[in-house]
Order: sequence, then structure tokens, then C-alpha cells
Amino acid sequence: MSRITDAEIRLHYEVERLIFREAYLLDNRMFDDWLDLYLEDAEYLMPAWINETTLATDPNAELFLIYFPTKAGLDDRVYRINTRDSYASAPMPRSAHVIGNVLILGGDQDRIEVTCSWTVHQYADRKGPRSHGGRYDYVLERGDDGLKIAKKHITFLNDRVDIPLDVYNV
Amino acid sequence: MPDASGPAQSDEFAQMVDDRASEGQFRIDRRMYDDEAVFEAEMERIFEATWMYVAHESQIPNAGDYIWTEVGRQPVIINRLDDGSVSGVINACSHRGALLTANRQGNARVLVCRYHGWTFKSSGECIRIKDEAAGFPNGVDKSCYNLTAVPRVESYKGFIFACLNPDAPTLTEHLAETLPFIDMLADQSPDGMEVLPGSAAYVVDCNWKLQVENGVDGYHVGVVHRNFAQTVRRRNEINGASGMKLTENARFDPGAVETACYDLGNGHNIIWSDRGAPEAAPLYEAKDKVLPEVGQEKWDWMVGRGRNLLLYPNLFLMDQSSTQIRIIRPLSASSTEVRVYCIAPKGESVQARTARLNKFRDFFLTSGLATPDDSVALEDTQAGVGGRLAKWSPFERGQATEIKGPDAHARLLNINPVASNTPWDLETIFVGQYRRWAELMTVRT
Repeated sequence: MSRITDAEIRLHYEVERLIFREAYLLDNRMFDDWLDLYLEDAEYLMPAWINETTLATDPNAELFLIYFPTKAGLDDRVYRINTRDSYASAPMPRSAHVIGNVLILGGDQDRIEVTCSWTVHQYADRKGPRSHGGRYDYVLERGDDGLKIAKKHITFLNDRVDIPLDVYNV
Repeated sequence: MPDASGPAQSDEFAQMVDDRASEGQFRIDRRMYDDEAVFEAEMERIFEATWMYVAHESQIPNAGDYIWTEVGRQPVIINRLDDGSVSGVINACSHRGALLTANRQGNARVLVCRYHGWTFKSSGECIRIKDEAAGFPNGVDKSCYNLTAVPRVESYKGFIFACLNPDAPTLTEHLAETLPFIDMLADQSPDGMEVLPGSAAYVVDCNWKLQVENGVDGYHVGVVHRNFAQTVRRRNEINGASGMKLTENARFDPGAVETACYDLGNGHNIIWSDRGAPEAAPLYEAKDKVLPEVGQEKWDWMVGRGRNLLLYPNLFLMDQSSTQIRIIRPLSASSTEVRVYCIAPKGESVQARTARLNKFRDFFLTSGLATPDDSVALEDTQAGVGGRLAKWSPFERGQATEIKGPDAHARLLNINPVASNTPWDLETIFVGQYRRWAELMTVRT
């Protein structure tokens, strides 16, 4: 391995701070602040599995569990939760995201490709504790007010779940 | 009186349906939702005795293609043979019983057991016994070790059903009055229909019968899915959506559009509602291709009416804002798996395919804007079923307006429901479900 530079360390810290902040905002239901982490044209994808080893890749031809071509889809989710009228989201489960193995895979100072592993531990009164996890692949872009999320691709390991899934628990 | 604290006895099952419709009473004993003895009997007498949907032909197009699934509690392989026909075997090696497939879906012209290496043609014929000469020095008739065939496998317009009871009526006799409604989905493209890649499954901690009720329950739509309607209405306004990008939602407003429900016999049901904006349906673009094939009357049904079709007891064919195959698989008395696929007309435009998948994700997934709310409502219902002192669930709404036989719309289609009712949220259809349940659960001697 080549020698680690201060610039690399600073970039890594900056990346982690954003990703950890997203988890913190979700777990604390600070959805308006959470939405601010995303660029307006941010893509958000969570594909379904096609078989034991293959994930769907084309959201317009194959099944995705969640796919938003822009941030408007995230805004719909927050709106729905805030109606307090969703049977599944009132009361909401308690959750804790845990993120690790953060690796910068490519890009430059202004456009960064990042991968990391995640688990969510959640507790709902009716169901008790549940855990699930997978990988996040992000593309982060630098704008006037720092790094923001341009793309989030969620690999969800299960193809069978016994709890509702929404932006707050994946 | 039966003892309410112990497991139900076999001769009590039919009494759990208190059918006195002529006196205005039809109710069911809620023990049928969580009693393990009832569940075991249902597996034998319903799921392993009548026709179960197993797969769509587009999922196994080529010789050797297979799907491993379950019929009742039993693992089965449904596969395409060399002659193009669809067949099925119990997914258990004739030697020790190990599963013969590593994957849920794949292609295998021969099935090789991964435990001791015995080998079978996909038809089930045993063609290799490892170290045959050492084990059987005097020779052996390998046909004694063929796989066990699934007694009945039949397909209707691409929808494959299996039945473990060799004496069951034919598939089309079983489906009977549902056939015109299956056609309304199956005939949406002259090139046929295809299941799109990828599926999702969710487990709901409720009895399978609650899932079966829910899929044709028009009554909850305006309550449980009120927030769905509110969310998509807001989105439609923000986007100024039109055409296929619009999510049509007239059915969420009671009385806004015409609706009805039919008890189609054999436990099968349909509920339908006119679409407020037929041009929002992804099928709308196919008018020139499909209308000449099916005629005006049927086309109007296909594009103008959202339909939830239950093929009792394990399949829903949903044609609402999007098109869904929903398979119900009971896991225990209080747990049910639901596996869902998007089915679409072959050859539709990219725009229609995109709109179809968008609307599918919105409504039909447990990661969407509607299905999670159904799941949790059903789990709450299951929890309430534990309240033994509150014994009965009534299915009595709509008795005064029920029509024996077809209503005017059904008559135009030449179909003969057992009973019809309007609006779609009346409980006529559940009477059909539970009469069928009682019929199947009664052991004939």
C-alpha cells in the first residue's frame, strides 16, 4: 500500500461524517434535515433479487424494492410518514443504524464513490427485535455547501422479510 | 358445546362457519384463524387436495427450465420437459429424500442428487444409481426408483397449477366462472404475458385466510390506504402528471365510481371498480393491438376497470394501477408468506413498462406506500383473534342488496356468479370463501 496522505485522511473523515450523519438523522426521525443531505436529482435504489446470486440492475425492466429517479420520491415517503395516518408507521419502530467498512472506491475530491456495510437493529412492540443489513454504495458530490448524496444504492441481503421496509429502516 | 380452550376436533371444523344466511346470520368462529389443528387439516384438505397456483409459463420457457416451490407443505419441482409440456415431481430424491435442486429456479435436463449422486431425467425417470453394480450385483429395475410425480399439473393461458389429489376435477372445471377474468389479464398482448425478473416475499404474522380476505376487501381501501391516496394525489398535483404517469385513484373515494363484487363459486371472488382515468393504465397504449382481438366489451373491462381476482385459495391476479401475481403460502396457523411478481404484456413500450413498475413499487411491495399498512393491520387482526371471549366474526354487510346470480354487468359478459353485490365492499364474497372452506374441511365418508 502506498503512503497515506493527509488529504486522503481528511476526505475519508468528511465522507464518514456525511454517511454517519444520515444514519443519525434517520434514527432520530429528523427527516427534513435528512432530505437536505440529498441533491435534487439524487437517485435512490434498492433492487430486488432475481435469484440467489443476482440483483436486479434495470429499474425500468426488473423489480426493484425501492427506486426513485429523483429526490421527489424521498419527499413522498416523508410526507406519508408525516400524515401520521400510515398503519405501519404509527407508531414507528425504534431503530439503530450501524455502519462500518467504509471504503472510498474511486472518484476525486468532488465526486466520490463510496461503499460501506450496514445493519439496522429495530424494535417494534408487536414484533420484538429484528435485524437486517447489507451494503450501501454511494456517489457523493461536492457543491457550494459541502458534500451531498447524488446516488444511494442499497443492497438488501434478504429477499424475504417479516417487517415493513421504508426509508427509515434500511 | 366444544371446549374453547383445547385444540379443535376434526368434526367441529364445519361448525366454525355459522351459516344461517336465510335468517340474516353468517359468521365464523375466530378459532379458525389460529388453531393449529385447523391448520393441519387445511393443509391436507385444501392446500394438498385442490388446485394450487405454482408458476407462470414465462418463467420456464425452455426445456429443462425448472422452479422449485411448495404445494401445501410439500416441496415440488415444476419443469418444462423436452416435448415442451409442463410437468412436476416431488422435490425429494427417491433414495434418502434430499432436495434435488440447489436453486429456486434454473435449468437442468437431468436432476443429480447432491447427497449420493443418484440421477433422474426431469420427467423423474431414474437413470443412474451411483455404484449400481456394487449395490445390486444381480441387477436392478431402476424404474422402481423414479421420482414421485405431482399427480396433476395443468396450465391455463400460461398460469400453471398443480394438484396433489389425482381425483380432483380438471383445472378449468375448478376455475369455472373465473376464466373470463383470467382472460382479461392473459389476453393483454397478442404476444402473451411475461413475469418480469425479480420477486419479493414478505411474511405476515397472520393466518392465511386473513390474507385471502384482504386481497378482495374493498372495505378497508378508503381507511387503510387513505394516506396512499393522499400521498399520490399530492404527487400528481406537484408533477402535473398525466397519461400513464398519473396514478389513478378514484376507487379510494366511496361512490366516486361504479364498483361491484362477485362470488364466482369454488371460493373464487372478484371485486372491480371503474377507473377514473383509464388512460393512466399502462395497457391503454395497446388498444389498436388488443381491442380487435378481444372485442369492445372485454376491452372496456380490461382497460376501464380495476380488478382484484382471487383464485381460491392461493392466488390473486391483481390488475389495478399495476399488474401483480400474488401467491399466498401458509407457514403456520399464524404466519403466512406472500410472494409477489409483476406480470406484464410482452412487447409493451418502455414508457408503459416503466409506468407499470413505478406503480407496482408504489402499491404492491412491503417496501411501498400501501402494502406495509395492510400487513400491520392484518397482524393486529391476528392479535385480536386471541381474544377468545369475542368468538365470532360476522360477514353480514350487504345481505339486503345481494343479487343471487349475475348483475347486469356480469350478464353482459355471460358469466354466472353465485351472487353479485354493489358496491364492491359488501361481504357477499366472503360468504362464498367460507362456504367453500366449510365444504373442503368436511370429511366426506
